[in-house]
Amino acid sequence: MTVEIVPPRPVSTLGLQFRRFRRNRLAMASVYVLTLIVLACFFGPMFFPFTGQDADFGNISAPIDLFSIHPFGTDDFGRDLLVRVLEGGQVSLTIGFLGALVAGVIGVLYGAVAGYVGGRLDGLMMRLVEILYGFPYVILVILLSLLLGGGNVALFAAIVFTLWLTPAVIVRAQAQSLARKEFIEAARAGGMTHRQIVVEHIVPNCVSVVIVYGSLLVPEVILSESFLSFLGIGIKEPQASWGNLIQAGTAAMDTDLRLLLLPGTMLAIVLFCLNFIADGLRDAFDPNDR
Amino acid sequence: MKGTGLSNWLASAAMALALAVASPALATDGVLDRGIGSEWSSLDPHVNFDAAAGWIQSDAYEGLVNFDGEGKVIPGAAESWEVSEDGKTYTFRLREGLKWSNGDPLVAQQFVDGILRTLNPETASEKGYYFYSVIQIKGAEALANGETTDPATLGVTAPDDRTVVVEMETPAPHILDIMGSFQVAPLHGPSYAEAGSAVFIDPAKVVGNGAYVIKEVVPQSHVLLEANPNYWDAANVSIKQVKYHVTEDVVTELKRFQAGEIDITYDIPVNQIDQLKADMPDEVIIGPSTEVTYYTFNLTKPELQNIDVRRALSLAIDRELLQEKIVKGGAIPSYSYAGGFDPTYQGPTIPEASMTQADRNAKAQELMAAAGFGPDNPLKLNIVTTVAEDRIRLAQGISLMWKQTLGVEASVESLERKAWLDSFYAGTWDVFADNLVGDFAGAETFLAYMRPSADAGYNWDKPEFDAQMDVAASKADRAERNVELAKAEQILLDDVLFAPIAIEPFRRLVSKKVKGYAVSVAGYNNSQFLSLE
Repeated sequence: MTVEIVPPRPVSTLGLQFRRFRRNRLAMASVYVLTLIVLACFFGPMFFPFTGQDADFGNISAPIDLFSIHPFGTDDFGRDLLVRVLEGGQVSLTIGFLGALVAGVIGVLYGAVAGYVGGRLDGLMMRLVEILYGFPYVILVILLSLLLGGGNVALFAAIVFTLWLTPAVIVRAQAQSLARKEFIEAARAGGMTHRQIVVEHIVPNCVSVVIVYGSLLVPEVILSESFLSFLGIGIKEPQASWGNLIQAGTAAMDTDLRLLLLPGTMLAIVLFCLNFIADGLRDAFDPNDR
Repeated sequence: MKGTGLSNWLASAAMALALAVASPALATDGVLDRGIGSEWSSLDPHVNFDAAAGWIQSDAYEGLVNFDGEGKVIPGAAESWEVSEDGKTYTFRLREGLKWSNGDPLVAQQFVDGILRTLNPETASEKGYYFYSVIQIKGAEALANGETTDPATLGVTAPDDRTVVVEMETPAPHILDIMGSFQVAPLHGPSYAEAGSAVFIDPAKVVGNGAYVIKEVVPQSHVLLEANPNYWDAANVSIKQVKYHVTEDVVTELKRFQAGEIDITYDIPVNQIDQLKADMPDEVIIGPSTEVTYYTFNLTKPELQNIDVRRALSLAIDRELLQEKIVKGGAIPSYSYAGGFDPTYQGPTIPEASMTQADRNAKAQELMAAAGFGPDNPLKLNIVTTVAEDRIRLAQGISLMWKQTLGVEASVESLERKAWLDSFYAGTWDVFADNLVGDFAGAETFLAYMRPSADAGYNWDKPEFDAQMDVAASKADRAERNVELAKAEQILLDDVLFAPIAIEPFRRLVSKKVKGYAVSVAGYNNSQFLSLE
């Protein structure tokens, strides 16, 4: 009788890592909840005959009534609260993901180049990062949004400008150790240009670090946006974002707690989800934790 | 007077210097703590145009007349006055033995000097119009224009040390209302000659003639006043120290009031009025004021040069709904500019005032469509307002109404009070959330502010209006005068230079331990008439 040895199905490292991620229940639940919220924010408002900028002056400060046209009531201008929170979510989430993506890409490329090239250029590039780190964050953002004339684009640019620094530092450390590895030597000997080496070898080998850090970057950007809008230098009325909705909510805290709780809860849930996902990714990508 | 005067960087620098040498305040009992909202824009009595800073001024300086707690004219530095037969000449007789706070004698010429300084173009005061527009003093306009610098040409003279004579081109039955400290504070020559305009904010050098004298100036914090022992009525000044606190945020101010740190507030958070009325009915004081809110349209913006667009914007504002449901601050919706204060004044309203809001909206939509604006071509505007909570709510409410009814996309830009006023003169606005605090409860205080119509800011050049104001100014009889003033207001409203919105109330919390606080329409509540328990 021959024993048939079934070789295990070949699994790539990335596949293995995602399998491990899927076993993390909290992280997977967060993925589902987050997807649900994203879908609701982007498609939910379509089911209402009005937008969050249309006021229903006959129904100002309507209370929660799940079976009426305004399920969560209206705010103190007569605008539907649910639609406003969902539309605010569109803005906050878009800025969050897009901001993290852009800041991540800039940071990764910058760090990879600095780490790979090394020497004087590396020193110069990293001193620049340190100088930018030295600026107080809020002041820098205020200056930038003043410089760019306010508005969504200015806010976005300001956030990206301040948040690409950390990924750059992390990736640079990784790239520095990679640059001395044999396969890089081989690539160089094989005639690859520096540009090709950075893009095809250094960056892909940093990807696990980047994914973990990037997933932490998203909540950071969302929080920055909310925080700046809360201070009044971010998204301006009548456009909604979670930050300025929460700000309007705190002003009315003593009279109508609903205005604070709804956007506040949504923001908290999204931040929790993103942090759980980031945790799950970190566990899954950690080579010491098999 | 307006929300505030222009910022003065030099003065702020000097203030900071004063701060460095100022001694810490002695927070003892018997101090009256009052809120004044945003920081005073100026403590210079001839420059300050800010109503709230005017309270400090009326404690620290005394004009020819004074106002009691109900806003009634009472003798101030002048004990009596006479008016000539034709109503064009007033002779004020000063009290005997008047002194400045440093003990120097106060003479009639110093009142004349104060007016001359206000009119001097180098002072850059906005208050000159009191003397050539609100009342028309002989020679005042020429001095203000810089046509002459000869003080002898002015119709205000001091024939002896106790007499001030005011000669006017036209009769002015309302002259006494603007003979208080806000308009005619005297000038102490020696201290001014020594230190220039910095003297008014330097507690070590400032010399006043009011019931109180400035003891301490801390920018962005407070001004401390102390009873003036040389004041003629010092024996009847009960409160010895008054502290005016900067209370920019109304919610914080309320908390400070509740903690007993402030005795009289500047305002009440509008969304808590009902609650506070229930909790402390005796301390909530809401009454009519002479402040009007109106939304001014920028005539230099091509889209707004079309009068139909301006009219449509004005009509689409549901003023009742705004005040009752959105702002909820107790303001009275208004369809006129200068009416609603003096019951004897029968002024015009905008012609559509008698229509229902639905009809007004329909008409507004028609006008807007005729002007070529529609869903594919929406009008885009920005509204510049101050940061006060009720003002922002008002602007947002109006922006939503314009969007709802006319499809206009109006963004709301809220600026700090000084920046807001600077922006007005710079013209960086399409719609300006404007307001004016009248100096007395009459139509003329508002209409005179618009004259001359070519003045900076409004860019509204209307000789007919100026001519009509001159006709009104020639009438000595109040009733006849009001008829002519109404015609002038009609010219103003017909041009839809602005959309009248509301007459603001004043809202204050007054602690139970403050006695003698009365309701004054023009906002005069001098500390000298109050007492603490």
